[in-house]
Amino acid sequence: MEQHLLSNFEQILTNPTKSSLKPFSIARSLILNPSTTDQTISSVIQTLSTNPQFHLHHVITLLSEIPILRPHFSATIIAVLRSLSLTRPDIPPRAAALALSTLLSLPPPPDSDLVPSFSEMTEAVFLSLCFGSCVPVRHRLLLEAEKFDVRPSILLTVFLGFSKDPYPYVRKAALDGLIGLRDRIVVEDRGMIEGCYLRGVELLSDAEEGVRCSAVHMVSEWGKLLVANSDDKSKMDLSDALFVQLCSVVRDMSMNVRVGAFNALGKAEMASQYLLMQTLSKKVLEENKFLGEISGKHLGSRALSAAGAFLHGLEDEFYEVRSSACYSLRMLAILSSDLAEKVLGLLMDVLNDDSAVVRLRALETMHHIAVSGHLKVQEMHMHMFLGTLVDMNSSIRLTSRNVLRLIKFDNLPMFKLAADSIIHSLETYPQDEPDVLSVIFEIGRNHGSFAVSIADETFSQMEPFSASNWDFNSSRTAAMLTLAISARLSHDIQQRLYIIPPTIFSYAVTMLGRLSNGLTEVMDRNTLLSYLSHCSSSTEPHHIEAEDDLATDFNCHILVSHVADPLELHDKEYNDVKLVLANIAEIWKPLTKFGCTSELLMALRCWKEELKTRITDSHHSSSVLTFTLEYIVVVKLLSKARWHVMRPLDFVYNKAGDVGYILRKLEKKIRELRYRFIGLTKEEELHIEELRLVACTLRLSNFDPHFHESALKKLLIYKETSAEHSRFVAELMKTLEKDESDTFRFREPLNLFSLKQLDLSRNLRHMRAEVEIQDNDWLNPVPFVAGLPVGIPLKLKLHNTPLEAKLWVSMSRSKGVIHYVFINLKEFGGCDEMREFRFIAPFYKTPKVNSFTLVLGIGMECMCYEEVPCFRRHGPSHELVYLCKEKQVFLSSVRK
Amino acid sequence: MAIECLVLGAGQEVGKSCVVVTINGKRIMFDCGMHMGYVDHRRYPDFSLISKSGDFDNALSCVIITHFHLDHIGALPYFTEVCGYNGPIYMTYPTKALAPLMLDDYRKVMVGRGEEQQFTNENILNCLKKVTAIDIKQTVQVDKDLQIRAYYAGHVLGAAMIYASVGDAAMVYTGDYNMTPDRHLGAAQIDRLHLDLVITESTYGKTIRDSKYAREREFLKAVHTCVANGGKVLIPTFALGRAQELCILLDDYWERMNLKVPIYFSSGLTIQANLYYKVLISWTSQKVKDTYATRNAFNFKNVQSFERSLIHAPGPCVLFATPGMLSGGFSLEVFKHWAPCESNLITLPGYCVAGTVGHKLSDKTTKVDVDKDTQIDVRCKIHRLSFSPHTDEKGIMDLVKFLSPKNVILVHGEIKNMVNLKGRMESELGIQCYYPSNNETVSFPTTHFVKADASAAFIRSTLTPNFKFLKDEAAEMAPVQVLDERVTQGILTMEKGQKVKILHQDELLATVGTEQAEI
Repeated sequence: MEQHLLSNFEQILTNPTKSSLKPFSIARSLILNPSTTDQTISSVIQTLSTNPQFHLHHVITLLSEIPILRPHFSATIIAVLRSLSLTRPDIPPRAAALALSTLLSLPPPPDSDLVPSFSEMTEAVFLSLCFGSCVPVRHRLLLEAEKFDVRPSILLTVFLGFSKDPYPYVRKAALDGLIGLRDRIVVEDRGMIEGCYLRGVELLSDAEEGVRCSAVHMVSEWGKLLVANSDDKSKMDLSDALFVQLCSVVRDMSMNVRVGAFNALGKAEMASQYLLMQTLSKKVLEENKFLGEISGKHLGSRALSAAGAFLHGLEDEFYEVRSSACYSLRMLAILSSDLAEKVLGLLMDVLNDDSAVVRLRALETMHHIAVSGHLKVQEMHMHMFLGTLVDMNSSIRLTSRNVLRLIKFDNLPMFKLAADSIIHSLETYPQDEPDVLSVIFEIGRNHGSFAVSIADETFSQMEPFSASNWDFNSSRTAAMLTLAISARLSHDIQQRLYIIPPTIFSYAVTMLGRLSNGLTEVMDRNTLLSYLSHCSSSTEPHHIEAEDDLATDFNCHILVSHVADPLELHDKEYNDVKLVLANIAEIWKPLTKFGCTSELLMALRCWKEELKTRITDSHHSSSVLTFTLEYIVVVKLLSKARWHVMRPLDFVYNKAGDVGYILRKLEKKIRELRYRFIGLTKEEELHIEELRLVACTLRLSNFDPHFHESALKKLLIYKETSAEHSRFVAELMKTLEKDESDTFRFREPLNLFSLKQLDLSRNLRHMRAEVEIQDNDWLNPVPFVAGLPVGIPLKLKLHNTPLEAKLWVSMSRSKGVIHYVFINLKEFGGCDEMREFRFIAPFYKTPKVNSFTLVLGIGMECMCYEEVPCFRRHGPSHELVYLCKEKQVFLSSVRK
Repeated sequence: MAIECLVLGAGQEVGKSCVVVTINGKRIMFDCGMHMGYVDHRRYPDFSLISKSGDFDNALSCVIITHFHLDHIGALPYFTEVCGYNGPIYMTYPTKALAPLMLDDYRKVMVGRGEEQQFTNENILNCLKKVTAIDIKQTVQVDKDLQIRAYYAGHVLGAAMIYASVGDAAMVYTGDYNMTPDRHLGAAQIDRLHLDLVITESTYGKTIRDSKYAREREFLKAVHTCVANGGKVLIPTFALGRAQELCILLDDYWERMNLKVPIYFSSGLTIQANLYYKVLISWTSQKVKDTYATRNAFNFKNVQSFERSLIHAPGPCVLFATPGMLSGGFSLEVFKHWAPCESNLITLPGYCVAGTVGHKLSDKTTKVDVDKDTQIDVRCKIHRLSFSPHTDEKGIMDLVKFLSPKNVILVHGEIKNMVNLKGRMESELGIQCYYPSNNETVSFPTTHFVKADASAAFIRSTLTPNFKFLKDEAAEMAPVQVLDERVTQGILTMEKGQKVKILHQDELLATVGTEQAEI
């Protein structure tokens, strides 16, 4: 059958007298049939390519179909198509265009030396087809222009020229091409940009809807480019002109054009205040008021074009336009509070819209205004706005609540109205409870005095005897209780002293589950419980003590940690720690003595793992626990180092580097143990000092060339101040007095060393820092100019740092060269427990590179350590302990 | 070739809209309205100016009615049945459906007032039999040369703007239109056309209205306060149009606020009209169209029909009564009873024709002579409605700017508005503008294209793009321009005895038989 069809096809095709489409339909059926053999296909290709004189269009169509179904024929097809010279006038333009796009869609053949000539050829064919008389081909080529390898400069000219084509579809394709081109190339010739922009403006009044749509988009894009490429003087004028052009199309008769216009207006970057005001009023505003602002030349006509643009958008018949107009109002609202107020008035009316999409968009815009700090809700708006809290649509309710969170109420009636409405909405839509409670908590905290007076009013009616009448299942009760709690935790410190009867809090305990559900973001259930029980148990009118417990900080997390941490550990945890520490002391001596270091390490590891499970939240892990974990690490390192130093001599194994690394790490850890915890007792300090002596001694006995006995002696001087010496220290002092130079002389004291049990006090506090580099990652680098200093914005959170602590920001670009910046804690507020502030760290030595990364850390000087003699001129005079993990900062040079 | 425009009515006034336009020899009558303010011969346009002999069938190619308001259609039965016009009449489907209701209602009011009956119900029905109904954007070939097409105008249900073209000359007659959508009707919508003339209404030619939201809010607040205080609200309206708009507004509000105060419709006419609205959904606003699958916006939930006995019933209520402007009929009757009470509220339409009670009330007088014998002491509150189905100054300017015709004629408005609009159009848009008074004629030349043969070379050249680059720093236009020069390059030749022909520039040299010479 296949053979029969093939021969039939060849026969008809080679017969020059007949000219019919039959052979092509036969060929097509052969090509499309998946079971046709490759051999047949090859002969079909052969026949088609040798007889191209007839119906070239059909031949090319068939050839183009083959590689889609049979990719392995691509190379052959490319060869055949290339052999046709596409610029020949007798090839129909459609066929040529098809061949061209097929050629481009196929993967290029491996012999890449052909490519340059090929791309030149494509450009020539593209241009000749575009300028040919076949309109559909022109349209199609312009649409797909990106595919063809045409130089952008030529493409730009082609597009610009064809934007005046008599055929609207060609015009539209040309405009779309220009829009696409703007993103891909950088045009620097101002004349060219202006030419394109003005062509777009001209086409805004095209007779065809589609062309106008594209023109709006194009004017917006190229207009921005034009503004960006002009000098500062004319920038304002040009951006005004662009804004007015866009405003002038908002009254277009086509819905799509209007939507496009509002989308473009929303993206506008700037416009003068006068014009913006004008867009909110259909009447032309008094010019005198603004005369100083812009040149009078275009004032009248511009005002007329811009008049009421947004009003028209908001009252449009189509919800698409209304929603787009709501969106674009954002741009206005963030510019000034005057505008924001007017915009808000309009948006409040839009909340009455019948389309949920539009209402939602309006609320989103309001939220946007609120975030930018311009939201001033007036009494007349309240009715409309609060109505959205009970909207049928849940996302509208959610957005409305989000706006409510940010509203500042000036007076009690307004606040009361809002509180009533949200409670009403809670009763109507109980499924929103968690979010509603969190909103109530938030607005209550922000308006402490109002919340107190409402809570007071509600609960004062509630006598202890009639409390049974209270329905403790109702949402209203939950809401009122939340309000009472929030009033207690208000930002307004005055209000916290206000008395709310403790009974209220004991009622609240009964609703713990519901309340904590709503307040998950603010505090967890246990915290809430302990807080509530705390508040309900104290019956005295003034709970000064309780008030002290509440953090003075605005940050809720801190507040929580203070209320929750009934100072640090629960007893169980503390006992565990104690047990572990005792065990360590007990097993250390025998195991090291008999050389069972690996068993010792294993035991230590197990304890470490066990203690780690106690850490619930890494941020708020208790200081004692942290200390113990660090201590275990130190013991581990010590045991390892001791094993290396003390084992029988074996020169093959004993490489100084190995131990050196462990020793350095050990010293660092000991330093951290000593200086990152405040509230250590004298005994604990001595214990750590002894460990440090051991580490030094280990180092001395390990041929460290950089380390001298004098250093150790200095340590011992400090040590002498303490009352009694351990056997190790006594022996060590003796050894040093002997003044020998034998490296093994330290073995004796080391052998005498035994780990004593550490009695840990509960009052430890762990110093730590949280560093955040704002908006910085490898995609958003901090810009810098080579040779000039660059400021790195840091957000710092310091925990348990005393005021006298000397903190440094260390920044290093390459290893070794570290740049230090001092942080004077006295300049920033906060208490020892918690300081939070922003700090700009200057980095001076910016290199001449495009981009680089800095490694940044926060270090504290170890004041008790000896001064580092030849430390850098600007930098810490003592060793540093680092309070946080190192952070990477990405910097990139500013492009000219 | 010219357009001649004879204004028979609504020239420098509102009422009896009727404009006869002659385009390239074809005569079209746009609208055939009557004036509500007169009862003598002045109430109808002076048809004798069209044809002295009364042979209207030959004098006119067709009559086109834009919408069903009486000042646009009121004289039609008189013109066809009494004056004897038998030619084609065009109007949209809703207009054709609602026109008999309006006309018959008016006839009854006239009879009720004891005036001479101008036409009978039979006349109305006969007249409407001659009407051809058209649809929006439907192009109708009236005869060989004359084409007409209707565009959506907003204003009232079925209102249309009419595009008419004869040969190369084209014009638009807007009728009454609204450029901002309201609750039940969309905004006017038209294509960008090449026009020689636009005849537009100018009712609010000197008013710019701000957001409709504020107007709605004020109206609802006024009504709500009144009923909350136990007052009665009288809303005189025409049966069709504003009645439905306000009713949708109130019905929505009642629903949202959960109000139980009854809303009444005074006459069966309005209820009958509502039936038509429910059927003609495709002529309403996008919102009604979108929602009607779930709920027809004209199925008012809170509306009941009114009985005469309820006038004196105690308690608050809202009543829609016809006619608007309190020119007589039931609304005037209720007004007589409710106006003296302070707690009541009367809403008045934004525009009242001189001579009606509504117009008299506008002057803030407390005593109003309702008729010869009765004087009413008006103590109730009066709320001025600014809901208007007419576009405002800005809307007119926007439409004219969008259409950019060569000439504009203003009708259907007061002269001061027209002067204002003419000034703005000529200065801002550079469009010639006229406002003829009644029975005046304006004429101006029109576009006329000459047919010419084109040589093969010229056609070839026009098919192929021919770019030209301009770089002109001095000009105010863009410094860099890429133009397609292909079409402008023909050369027109006129040889004796032959048709005009366009040649390609290369051909000219061959034809003239000279070498190219540089000058």
